[in-house]
Amino acid sequence: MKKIIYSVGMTGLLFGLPGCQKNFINLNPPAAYTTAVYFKQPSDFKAFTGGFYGQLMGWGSPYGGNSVYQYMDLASDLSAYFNFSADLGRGTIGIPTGDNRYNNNYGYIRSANTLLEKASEYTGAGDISSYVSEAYFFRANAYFNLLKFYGGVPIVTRVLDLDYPEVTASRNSRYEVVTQILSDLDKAIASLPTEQNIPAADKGRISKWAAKAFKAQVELYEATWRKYNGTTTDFAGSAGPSSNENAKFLTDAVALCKDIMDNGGYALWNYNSTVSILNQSYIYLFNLEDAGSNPAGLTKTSNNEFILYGVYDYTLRKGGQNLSFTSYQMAPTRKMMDMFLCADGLPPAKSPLFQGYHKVGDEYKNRDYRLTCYINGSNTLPATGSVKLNVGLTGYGHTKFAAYKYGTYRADNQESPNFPIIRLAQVYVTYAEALYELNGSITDVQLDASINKIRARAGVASLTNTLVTANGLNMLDEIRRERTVELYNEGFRIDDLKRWGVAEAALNESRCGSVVGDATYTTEFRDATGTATSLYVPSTYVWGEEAVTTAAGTLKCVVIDSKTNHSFAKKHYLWPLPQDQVNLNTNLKQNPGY
Amino acid sequence: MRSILLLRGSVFLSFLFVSCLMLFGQAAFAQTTKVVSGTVADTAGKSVSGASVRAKGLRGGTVTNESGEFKLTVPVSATTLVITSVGFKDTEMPINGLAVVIQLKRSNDQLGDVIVVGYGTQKKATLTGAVETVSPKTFESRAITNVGLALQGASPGLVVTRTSARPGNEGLAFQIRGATSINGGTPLVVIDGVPALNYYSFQNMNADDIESISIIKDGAAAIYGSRGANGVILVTTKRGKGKVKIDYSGNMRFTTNGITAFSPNMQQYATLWIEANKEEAIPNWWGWVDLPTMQKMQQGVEGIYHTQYWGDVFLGNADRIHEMFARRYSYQHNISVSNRTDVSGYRLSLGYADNQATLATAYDGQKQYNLRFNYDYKLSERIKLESAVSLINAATKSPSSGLDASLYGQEQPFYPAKNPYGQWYADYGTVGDRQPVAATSDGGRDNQNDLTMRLDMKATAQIVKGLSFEGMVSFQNERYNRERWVTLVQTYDWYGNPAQKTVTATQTRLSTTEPEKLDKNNPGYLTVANNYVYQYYSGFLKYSKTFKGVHNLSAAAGVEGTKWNGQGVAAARLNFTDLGVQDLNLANNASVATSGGKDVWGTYSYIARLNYNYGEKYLVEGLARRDGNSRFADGFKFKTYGSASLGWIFTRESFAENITSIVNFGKLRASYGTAGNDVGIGNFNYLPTVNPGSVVLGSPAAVQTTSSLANNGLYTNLVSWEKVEQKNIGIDLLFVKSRLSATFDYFIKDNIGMLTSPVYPAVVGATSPKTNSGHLQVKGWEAVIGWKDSKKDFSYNVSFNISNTQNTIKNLTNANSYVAGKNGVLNGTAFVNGYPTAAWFVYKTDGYFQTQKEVDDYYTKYGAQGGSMAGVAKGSASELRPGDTKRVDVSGDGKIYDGGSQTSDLVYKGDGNQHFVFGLNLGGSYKGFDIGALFQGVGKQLIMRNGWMAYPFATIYTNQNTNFLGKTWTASNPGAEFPRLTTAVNRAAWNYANNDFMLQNARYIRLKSLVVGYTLPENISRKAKLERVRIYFSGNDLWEYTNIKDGFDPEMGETSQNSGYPFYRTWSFGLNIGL
Repeated sequence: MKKIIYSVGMTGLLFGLPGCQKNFINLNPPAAYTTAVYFKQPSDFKAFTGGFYGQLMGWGSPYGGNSVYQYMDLASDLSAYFNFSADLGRGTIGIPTGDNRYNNNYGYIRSANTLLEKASEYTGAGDISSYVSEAYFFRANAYFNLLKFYGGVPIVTRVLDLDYPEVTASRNSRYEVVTQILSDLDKAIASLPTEQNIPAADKGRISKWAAKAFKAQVELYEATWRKYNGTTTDFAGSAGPSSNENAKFLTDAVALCKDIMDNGGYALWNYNSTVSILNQSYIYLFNLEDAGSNPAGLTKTSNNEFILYGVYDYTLRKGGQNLSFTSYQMAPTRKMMDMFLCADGLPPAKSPLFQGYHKVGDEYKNRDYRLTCYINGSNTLPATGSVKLNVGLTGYGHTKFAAYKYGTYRADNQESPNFPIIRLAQVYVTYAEALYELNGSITDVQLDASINKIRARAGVASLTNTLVTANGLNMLDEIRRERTVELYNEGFRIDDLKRWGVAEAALNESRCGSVVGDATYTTEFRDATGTATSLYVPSTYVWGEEAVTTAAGTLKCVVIDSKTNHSFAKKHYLWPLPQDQVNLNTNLKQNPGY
Repeated sequence: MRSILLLRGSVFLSFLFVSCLMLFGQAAFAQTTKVVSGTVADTAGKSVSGASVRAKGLRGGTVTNESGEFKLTVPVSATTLVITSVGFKDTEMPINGLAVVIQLKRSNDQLGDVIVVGYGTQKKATLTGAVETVSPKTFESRAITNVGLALQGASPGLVVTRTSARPGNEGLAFQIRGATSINGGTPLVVIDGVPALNYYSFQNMNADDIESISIIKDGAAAIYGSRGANGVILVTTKRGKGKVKIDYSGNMRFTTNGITAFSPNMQQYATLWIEANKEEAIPNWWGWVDLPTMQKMQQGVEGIYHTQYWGDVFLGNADRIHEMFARRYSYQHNISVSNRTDVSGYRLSLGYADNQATLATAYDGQKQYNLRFNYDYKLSERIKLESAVSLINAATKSPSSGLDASLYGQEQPFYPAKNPYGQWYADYGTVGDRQPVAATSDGGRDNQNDLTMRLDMKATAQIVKGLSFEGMVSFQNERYNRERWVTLVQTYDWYGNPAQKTVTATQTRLSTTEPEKLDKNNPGYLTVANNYVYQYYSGFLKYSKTFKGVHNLSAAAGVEGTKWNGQGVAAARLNFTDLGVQDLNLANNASVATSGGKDVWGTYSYIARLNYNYGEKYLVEGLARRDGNSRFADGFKFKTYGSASLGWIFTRESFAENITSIVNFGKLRASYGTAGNDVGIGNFNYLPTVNPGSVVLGSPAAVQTTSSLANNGLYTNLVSWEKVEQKNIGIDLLFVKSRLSATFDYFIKDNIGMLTSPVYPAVVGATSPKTNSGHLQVKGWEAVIGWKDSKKDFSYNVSFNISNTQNTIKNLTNANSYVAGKNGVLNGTAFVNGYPTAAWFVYKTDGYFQTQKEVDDYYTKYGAQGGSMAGVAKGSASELRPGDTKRVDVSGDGKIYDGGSQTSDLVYKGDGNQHFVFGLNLGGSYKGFDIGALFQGVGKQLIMRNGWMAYPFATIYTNQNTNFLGKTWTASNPGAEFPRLTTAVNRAAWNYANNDFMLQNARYIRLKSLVVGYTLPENISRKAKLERVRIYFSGNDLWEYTNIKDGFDPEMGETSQNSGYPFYRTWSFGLNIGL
């Protein structure tokens, strides 16, 4: 009897256990939502768009590590610092196996498409239109990144599964990509709030003005690219433009900029008259943090110039980029040094105010405030004997973005100013350039409404049609100069050289540093016998010296990176598609020349 | 593959052949016979079944039945019976009358031992799988409390590696028979029949509690299904036995520095710079200004030096290694009480150990507390209860900073720890943001506590004779707590002025949602509490019976359910001042980070095993498991695994009689099985989950919650565990009365369902989910050979084990290109089809340029093509000169290039996995004295040092490896082993990095353990009312021999800058007392 009870009991247990199987293997995530319950209310959409903000360029680049430095102007004609982007600056770009810039942007496009798809299924009561617009903005941003890197790329506007035809589609033309970007931006502009309507807690989110400024930037970029490069950079088999849209783009860009200038409520950050930082707005705008970040005690709330920017915070989101240390090394080239105007609004080569290069402090005298602010970090000029050319460097510093009182106010990696992506000054230079490209002329009123506001902050006389004609200048060159100087090291230079069709000429020149002169033009570095002084050790300059055009005629300068190293060609206007993508999708045609 | 089939075929043939012989044998003795019957029992009176009985000099015979009875027909002329049984000494018995009683004595070959296998036990003799046992002797008197470390070298299949000697931070890794997958995977640890919640509850268990360890290496691990592919370590704990017994053991030990040659002194550092600059056209003295300065350093002159960047600094002789590491003391105590009666049995043990590493500036070690109470109770003759309670608490306490790269990598050997004012002296005189002596002394602490509690209940009920039911429940709970604070340490220059920076202030990044990412050198306070609960339930029916005396059958079937829950919380605040009391509340709450987290997974499995043997001669085993898992979608949850194995004890055949005087036992084994590898699949990968995140927006800036989709919304439910097939053949032999033993196994493992990530075009925008499409093959062998003997008071034993594995990546998506250096590190990238993991692809070199003409010709040929030469371009500061390395254009395309596969100039030079891992055990005793030594080592492992000290001037701003001094090219030493020294880092990289001659064989042999003991004669210990008194010396890592050329310890791993914490030697004195 007992045996039977045992047998039945045990067997029952054994076969009863499968019944509780589900308690062990049918489980739900205890700490994560699934999409089945998400995207039901506006706050879900808001949170999802919040996740897009890492896609913007910032001190932490969307392409990882310290790659933000690749998106400054390093290794361009303005920079003698080649630790980043050397392949671009020298024209030695090879085909990479893979490329984050390609992969990440398509990831961003997928996340935008996800939001758009979830929005189309949304049946809730709350309004989500501004979040939908935000998604359109970010999709446009990703495609513009791809356009700048690669030209035309496959357009994907839905969430792909592995068997969708887009996965192995061929490239769309750059013209189709631009149409896609502009269409997305129109949808973004439609429902984004104006800056004035963004509550304090959401500052830093995309405003209607930011989307408009971005659209103007895209239109100027594309109109000038097409004007100066035509279809020379298109991949084999690419469709051409359906029509000449240049005038349309430029007209629209001008109107967008005007709208922002008139209605955006932004103003240049100009504290030149504040005694403690007299004429040093250009130092403290780019490292602006809390009251300790400048002698005037100004904080980020004083900044009404940034239109689109990355929000950083010493406590919550540090820059984390060894920024001051790296910034100090981003020495400018001879070309850049000579590009800053004199206070009379004339280039140093033409200005009677220019003092030459005999003493190291001379070239800083009577110049654009940006020269001392960006390069010297103070109003104090370099003292005689203070510059040594004994380690192979230019003899110049660089302080844009470097923290004020670096080392005590902010240590390495702790600098946390907001990252400028689009600021009002850029809208001004875009406006002026688009106007001039559109009409071949610009009025003094238009100049006064735009770039002369910047020149005023820089302590440089206004640009007028009279100044141009009286001194044999070229208005377009001066507008471009203003753009170059104002936006120096903010990541526009190489794109500008490309869209103006002048990158080969500009990038294949030697990058030179200080003028060392010779027996006929003595400096602190060579005496009247032409002998190197104790401040100069020529043997530390691997590339020696080169006589180049300076503001004081053709003079010998130290060479930091020789033109013999440089072979930038038309093909380098675009990056090659990463090899892995070409291998994975044989429909992708490589860019010409690679 | 082919050979396996052939071998397995031959086993079958042998079966047939033997069966025929037996039939013949019986027919031949049909006439003039008598019938002898009897019983066979062991010395304790327990009947021995399956013993073979035959008449001496004749073939054929019979075996005893379950009750030890036999009946044998022999010729009338037969006078003697020969009885043999595995595990017993062969016995001869004269036939006096027709009924005999035979007593067998146990042999010392352990074949009769019952060992633990998956969900059961088996006699060692009749095992068909590759199962290794580790005797508890391995742990006796060892001056370590980490079971894992004690297993180094103990078993041929199990390879235990460590990367540090620091208690609690050893970085132990276990691997059975080599890697199974590129995605990793570790052996499953099963303690008393239940998978352990974590490795701590194995590593940190009290070795004194271990009765035995079995290691399942082959397909037999299939019975553990999806967790079995990396092998299984089965641990059985001691239970109460015999009369009341109290044992105490304890030891005291100290540690001394081991290999420290990697750390230079001031003179060597300066010499390296001077020698390198002798070779430079443009000398680079970096911040040290000029040659005279460095000559002064070369002479070891202490004093103020003028530097270019750091002003006037004091440099003195400061050897960090000897300044920071010194003799430390550790202790260990164990006490146990045990007893068993007819009704109940118990064993209670307590252990305490304080293990300290050699750090002299602060406590760096682990305190370990162990408690185990095993209690058994017999409810009735049929029902038996077994229970166990165990607690393991390991408290690891260390400095929170200063033991990273700043310990030695960034620290040149000439900054004294303190200035004349007794203040912490800053490195570089004024910079002062790192200083390991200050950081470890005053920079804060990292305290981790791990408490694992476990409760087991097992009931066994006999239903009918031979059939029983076993039910088991186990609850395991791990509580992990951590508190870490990092405080700023002000440093000073030589004159007492505060330095520019403070130590540990280098990084302050606080991820608001991931407080544990509060970087190591981040001033602030972190607290973490994690709680894991593991539940285990199983029910088994077990059956075992012998039919007709020769058919031995045992079978088991059951179900098992497990569930794992985890929950954690972490919080951190930035900025903390240590005023002697440490708590999160005392840290500045201006910036706070918190995170939570919960997870769960479960399994449900159906398990069956069947063993059959015919007269303990022909052995068959079949195992099956159907595993259900919560990690897969409905319809995909279940997967089936299984194995089959055969064995043949050929020495039990009568035809083998001629050799049994030499080979007294021989068994052939063959097995095939499939098991799963439990890696690479998250708990809810099959669901589209929303991941929370955060963004900083607003003015003033604040954190906003964000969301994103896991893997950007691309997911699949089609993947499953990796499926690993394993084939094994083995042979076990005992010679000359079991004094000589040998075991050999050969195996092939095929991971045919290895998770790989197929790559789709990036326009998809998400990483494509993994698929089970990869294939890794591992082939290997193991051998053990041992000898033991004794004469009167003297006995000795020697055993040597060695194993080797070689893996090959057979099929992996997109794995056809390689990079310079090591390719395919486990859990990494850059695997190459057709090559092993950790494959070395390096530049082939052809010596060094001897003349400028050779250099010029080289530039003419390859210079304009870029590739790897971009870094040493002609005309650049890094231009090549005589003495520099000549890399060979292997592909012949006129370019020196390291990318891809066809056009590159890299050549395959072997792999970086450990090969020929061995252990050598020597032991002996004479009267009261005993001695035991365990040597462990690796026969071959190719490594290439990486990081800052990989070769001279890999970077200029760090410490330097001066072991290259005198071995580099100079005009007067053109035949040197290494190329010329250079202070230009690009040229140094060309000369050294990833060149074939930089591969070195990290083989070594190390005296892991040496134990010398003396047991007091009983008549003396009895006087003190003690059963047993033994005193001993025990040492670890006392001696080694290695081929490493650059001064590092062979076990440290390849990275140079993190390896500043020296391995040490342990010397200990201990006492065992039995009451």
